[in-house]
Amino acid sequence: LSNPLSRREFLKLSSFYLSSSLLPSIINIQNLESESDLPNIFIVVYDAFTATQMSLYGYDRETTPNISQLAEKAFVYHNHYAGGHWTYPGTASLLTGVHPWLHRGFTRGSKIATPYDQENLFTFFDDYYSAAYTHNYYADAVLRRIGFGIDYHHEITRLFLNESFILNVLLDKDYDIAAVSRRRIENKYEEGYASSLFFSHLTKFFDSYRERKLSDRFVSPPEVTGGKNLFLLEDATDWMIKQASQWPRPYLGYFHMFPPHDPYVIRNDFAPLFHNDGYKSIRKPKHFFTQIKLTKEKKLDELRLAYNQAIRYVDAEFGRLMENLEEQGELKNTWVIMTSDHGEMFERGLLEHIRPVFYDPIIKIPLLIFKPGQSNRVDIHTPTSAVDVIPTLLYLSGKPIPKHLEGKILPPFFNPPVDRSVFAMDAQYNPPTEKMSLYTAMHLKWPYKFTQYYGYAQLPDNEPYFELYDLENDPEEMENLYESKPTIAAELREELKQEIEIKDQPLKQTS
Amino acid sequence: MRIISKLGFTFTKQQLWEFFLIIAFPIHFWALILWFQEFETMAERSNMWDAFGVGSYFMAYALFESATIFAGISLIMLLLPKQLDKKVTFIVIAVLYLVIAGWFILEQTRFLAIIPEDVWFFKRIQNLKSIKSKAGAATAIIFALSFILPLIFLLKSKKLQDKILSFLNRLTVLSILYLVFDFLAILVIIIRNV
Repeated sequence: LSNPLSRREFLKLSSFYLSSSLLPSIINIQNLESESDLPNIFIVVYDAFTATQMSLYGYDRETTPNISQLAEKAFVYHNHYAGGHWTYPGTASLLTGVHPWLHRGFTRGSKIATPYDQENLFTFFDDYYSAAYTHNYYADAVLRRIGFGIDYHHEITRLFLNESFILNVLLDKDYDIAAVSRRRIENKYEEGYASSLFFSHLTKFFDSYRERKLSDRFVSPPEVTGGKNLFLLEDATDWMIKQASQWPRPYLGYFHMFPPHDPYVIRNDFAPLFHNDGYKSIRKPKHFFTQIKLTKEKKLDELRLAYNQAIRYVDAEFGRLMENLEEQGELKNTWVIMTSDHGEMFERGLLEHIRPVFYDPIIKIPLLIFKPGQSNRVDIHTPTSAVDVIPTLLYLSGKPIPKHLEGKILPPFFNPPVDRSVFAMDAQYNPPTEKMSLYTAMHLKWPYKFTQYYGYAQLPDNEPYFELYDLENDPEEMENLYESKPTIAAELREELKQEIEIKDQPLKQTS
Repeated sequence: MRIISKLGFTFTKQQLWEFFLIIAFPIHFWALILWFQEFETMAERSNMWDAFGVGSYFMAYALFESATIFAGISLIMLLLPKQLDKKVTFIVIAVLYLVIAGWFILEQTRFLAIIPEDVWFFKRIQNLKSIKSKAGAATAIIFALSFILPLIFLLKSKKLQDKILSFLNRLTVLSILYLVFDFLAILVIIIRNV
């Protein structure tokens, strides 16, 4: 009591006590409790988690032993695709059930078009108690854009080990850029240089106190990109386990964890893994987006190794989460969905998920669905999309499926044709308020994947660029068949063109 | 007590202002270089306004860093004898500061691959044990000479002092430009956070 309240704490408490919606929400919770026989929905997203580097899906390194074991009692989707290649559009597609060309979440923090901002996962399940948390500021921005239907949005900083007053209070409105700037100003030890000439040398000294506590457990401090916000995935797992037992039923939980996103969090017990294990990455052709500094395959191999170790951390924590949920009896009446928002790549001189390309490593993500009480494994090879998750959940919950949703009910609950179209797109440099003229779009119709690039300054000869790969015979996407299979390319291109013509609706300034 | 009473060296107000500008120069110079380095990536990943936002935080921090170092050195100077020649002391401290700043810049540019890794020697000086090696000893000598030689020449030659002073004066003009950038940067930060 002797400590005065900070401004932030004061505002938090004020909003709590002054909230006129408090009483109705209590009544709502009581009502929900009476319908506790409805299954809960528990969605866990691990950020930047590519399916192509999971042993579950055949990756040479054993990166996911726990997930593979858990998959024995799950629906396992082998060809599942994200809606976009980075967090903002990818998460928005997952949560709205439409592709970026409709929701218009092209750039960080951009508005989500109406009606998708008001009709989304949380509002479709407004009779459920909904809770959400994410470590990732971009995902948090999506939740803030669409999440007025969320009953409990656990604030992002609550599961960080440190809260920076300057960033979280003084520069709160510009947090993302301020956090990125702070990292580049102070953290010389990451890139080897920082904008602070002298003080950047002191960063380690000042950070060491906080980090010392973690140094016996992690190779480098587990932090969220940009903010030097340290966190433990273990804390988030514990929080989810604890909360799941306490939420009113039925509940809908959306939890978007930062790992295995860069900077790769490597717990010490996984650090010795995969060194000199004989794994050889396939050398792939360079792309016109290739980043000159990152073309060194050796560097990409080193980063891939760190990423694989980070996946093991995620794998262990997901295993622990499921084990605890099972012990609590939670899985008897809960659908658990494990997926990602996009992938990660270390090839063609393209790193992480920076460039708007749609090669499988960057766009193919895991999807596992655990049915309440499921006892067998079901493998699904039909191509599926992140936008399919909402229609499927609605179907499984006996709810009507709004016509505007672009996804389909996932197999085996409903069987779309194997050669259905799966789309993904990115237009992060295209203003959401304008028609798309600067974008990448993917159209997958098994086994062919067609990708088109429009408007980029890097385009060869300033002409649109097209790629066509046969994923059945060339899963590594080595040979561009665009020229050699003109009929298929033209068909996929035309269908994609029609889709874009219909759906490319610029965001209204007022929406 | 006698010794203490002889301490308390300070610059004149004009010298203090110029000294602040000299301190600010390499710090801002480096911050700008790094901003240019980050600009393209930032503009690509986000947008131009955000890229300018990053630059603004860089510059604002550079101002903070300059002010802190200025305050620190000014306090330390109080430990110098009062009777030191203000002009010569100003030049010597400014030059030594710039040499230190140069080494710090060089240390960071190692990672920008301007100097090949295998001929880089600065790291050796951070590890005192390596001074026993030939390369380490050579590094230590070069490092020491970078301070000693300017000091000797400066103290011996009034001509050199005047030339350096004239150079420092030009530097301060550039630094004023940096301070204008700082002002704009603070404005940008305020706008972004309102």
